[in-house]
Amino acid sequence: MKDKTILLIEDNPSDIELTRRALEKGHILNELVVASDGQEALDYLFGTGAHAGRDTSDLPTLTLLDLKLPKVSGLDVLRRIRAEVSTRRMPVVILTSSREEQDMAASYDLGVNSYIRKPVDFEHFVQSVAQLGLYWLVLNEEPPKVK
Amino acid sequence: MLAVVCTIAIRLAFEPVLADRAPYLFFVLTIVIVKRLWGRGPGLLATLLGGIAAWYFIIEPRFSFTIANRVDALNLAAYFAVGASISFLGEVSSRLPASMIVGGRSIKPRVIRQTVVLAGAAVVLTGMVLLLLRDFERTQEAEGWVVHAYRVIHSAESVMSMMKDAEAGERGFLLTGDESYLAPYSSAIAALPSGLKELKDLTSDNPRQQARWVEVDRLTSERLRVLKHAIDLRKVSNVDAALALVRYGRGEPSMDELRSTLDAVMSEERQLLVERTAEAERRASRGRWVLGLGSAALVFLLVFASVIIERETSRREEITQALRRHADLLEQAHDSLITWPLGGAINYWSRGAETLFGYAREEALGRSSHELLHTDHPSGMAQIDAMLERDGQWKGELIQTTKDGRKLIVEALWTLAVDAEGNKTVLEANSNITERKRAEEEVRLLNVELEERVRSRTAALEAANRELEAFAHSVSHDLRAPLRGIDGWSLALLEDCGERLDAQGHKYLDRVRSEAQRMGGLIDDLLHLSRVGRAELVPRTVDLTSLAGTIVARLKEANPDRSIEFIVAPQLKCTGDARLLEIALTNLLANAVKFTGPRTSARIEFGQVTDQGSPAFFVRDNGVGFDMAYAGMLFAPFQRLHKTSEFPGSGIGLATVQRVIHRHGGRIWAEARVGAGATFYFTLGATKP
Repeated sequence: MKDKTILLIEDNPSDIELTRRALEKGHILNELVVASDGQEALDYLFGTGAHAGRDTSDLPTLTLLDLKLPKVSGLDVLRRIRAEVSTRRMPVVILTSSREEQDMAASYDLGVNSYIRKPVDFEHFVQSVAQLGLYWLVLNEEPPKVK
Repeated sequence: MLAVVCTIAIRLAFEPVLADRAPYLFFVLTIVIVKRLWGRGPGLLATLLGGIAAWYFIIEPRFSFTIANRVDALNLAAYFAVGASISFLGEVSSRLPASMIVGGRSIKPRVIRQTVVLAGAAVVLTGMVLLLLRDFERTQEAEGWVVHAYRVIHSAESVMSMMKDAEAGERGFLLTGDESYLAPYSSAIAALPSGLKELKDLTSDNPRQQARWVEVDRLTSERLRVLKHAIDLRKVSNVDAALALVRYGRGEPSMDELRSTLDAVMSEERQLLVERTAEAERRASRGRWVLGLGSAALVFLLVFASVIIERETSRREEITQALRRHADLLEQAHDSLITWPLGGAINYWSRGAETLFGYAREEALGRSSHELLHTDHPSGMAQIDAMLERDGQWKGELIQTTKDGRKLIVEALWTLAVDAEGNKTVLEANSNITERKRAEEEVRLLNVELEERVRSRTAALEAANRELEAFAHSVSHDLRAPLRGIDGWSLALLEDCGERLDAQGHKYLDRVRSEAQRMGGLIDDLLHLSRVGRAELVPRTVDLTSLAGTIVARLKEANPDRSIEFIVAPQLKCTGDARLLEIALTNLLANAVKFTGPRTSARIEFGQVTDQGSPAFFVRDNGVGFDMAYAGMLFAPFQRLHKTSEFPGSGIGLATVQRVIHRHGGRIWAEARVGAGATFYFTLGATKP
């Protein structure tokens, strides 16, 4: 379970810390890679920019994606992930404050695997993140790697 | 029958005046009257009966059917012919059609009637003149014979007188021997042959008188011979021998014989004179009758003709009046009226046309309408004329030009009238609709402008909506994130540094967390309200009874410790957006549950009433109710009528319900009393699925 990484794409440092805390409290101790904007996330996934030379075959087991991001928006990141053959099957969960219908519709249209709304109540948030981790990292069978 | 009997009576009453003259006059008048009153059959019957009556009672010899002479027979036949004609003629004229076509021209019955009357007058006049001429000739002839008779008498008398002169001369000479006494004798002897010849010539027409003349001639010559013998004797002998001859009377008898013969001649002529005078008198009398009756007939016919003419004249006068009235009315018409024979020039130009187009009547008459007015239509005037001829009417809008060059839009109603002779006349009625068209165009432009404005407003609204959406997006994301941080770090503080905080610190941090969460709830409700306002309406038929049932089940599950009686009316249906209606109904029913909290036996009802003729739905509870004085604040966002500590809530619920109802074009209102429950009514507008 340790070699399974979680990619958190989130720009708000407070949210990053709280998410990390929630994962810890939910006993999810996998490596957490944080990309603080959309471009950084794409660089990480495709081995470009700051992440040039990274082994792109090593994909995160779970990607938590916020929608409101600087530079490249969450939906655009999702679109790129689903457009690339290498990342097409990658499980992506939207973790956002928005419950706007159009955001939800667009996300599912682009093939997101799950849509979680961050509650204000931190205890609820911890529960959500714990369940999320348990499901995607333990229960869910990983998609086969793209050759 | 009665009429004929009356006629006979009248005729007999006139008997002293008329005697055997004009036997049929009254019968003909009767036929005319009978025919006029009762028609052809009775007319013919009157003819027949009248003829028989006249024949039997009036024509000589009376009281028998014997015909004395040919003239009477002809008269009777003529009477029957005239009677039958009267009976039939009237019938024909009353059966005449409205007009007769003769030689391609139609002739009106009144024209025929006039012609018949005038022809009758002409026939009567001609007949009268012919009869009078003939009678005049006959009278002349008769008078000639009268003169002739006088001349014969005179001639006979002169012969007698000459014989007396001869005799007197001879007597004188015989007594005196004086030769001078022989002068009368000599002149009588000289004149006598011519006198006798004249008498012979005058009586050459009469064999009886001629026979008498031969006798006169014989007796005259015999007497003259006796006289000559006596004179000769006196010349050669003495007076006594001659006187003796006279005394013995030789020759006296022959003188008496001569006198009586001449008397006979004169007597016959006198007799003839009487007869001829009577004949002349009779002819003159008949002439007077012909003149009188003819004049009467003429007067009758002329009166009849003048009545017909008078009637015709007054009829024409009436028609003229009517036409003038119509023409005046046409002139009054505001619209332009023009007439022209199909393919021809204008022959009527109303005052309305003068006003509308500016051409005076004299300028327009005789011109082609289309050319004068530059009449124009997109499909071409030839086509319009063809349609007019085919359908008898044409309606539409045309462009026409006035005298001063203004172009008018006219609404045209053209009618093709065809008269009895097949002449086709176009009645062109045009009304000026330029102003109306201009107004319509103005309205159209205004509408276009309005639509443009609506479009731009809509665009502005859409832009505002997009901004609102962006705002909502931002609110939901950006405002919630710090709240989550406040809550998350407060919890972290409690967990990680909890032992360093006293009870008061724990309590305050709990307060911080609850406030943050409340604000999160408020933001969520606001976003919800905004979503209700922005969501697209998808109307379809909604089964409100079953929807309410679902919500009730959900509410019961959420409040397991409450005892609530829900009454949902059956078969409530409406047209609307199911998702939005669910939000509204959920809010209303949840409110009812909330405000019946203090009741041990809560009762919540959902049903339908009729409000101002249209269905209104209601949700009624027996909860705490509210003061109607504050009803106005009920549906405003964040307005609450109860303390949060009594009944929790953000004050957004009813605002959301109102927004849903308004989006359906409906109305929402409430009735309540403090402590006696509340009823919320709502209607849904005519939203079509």
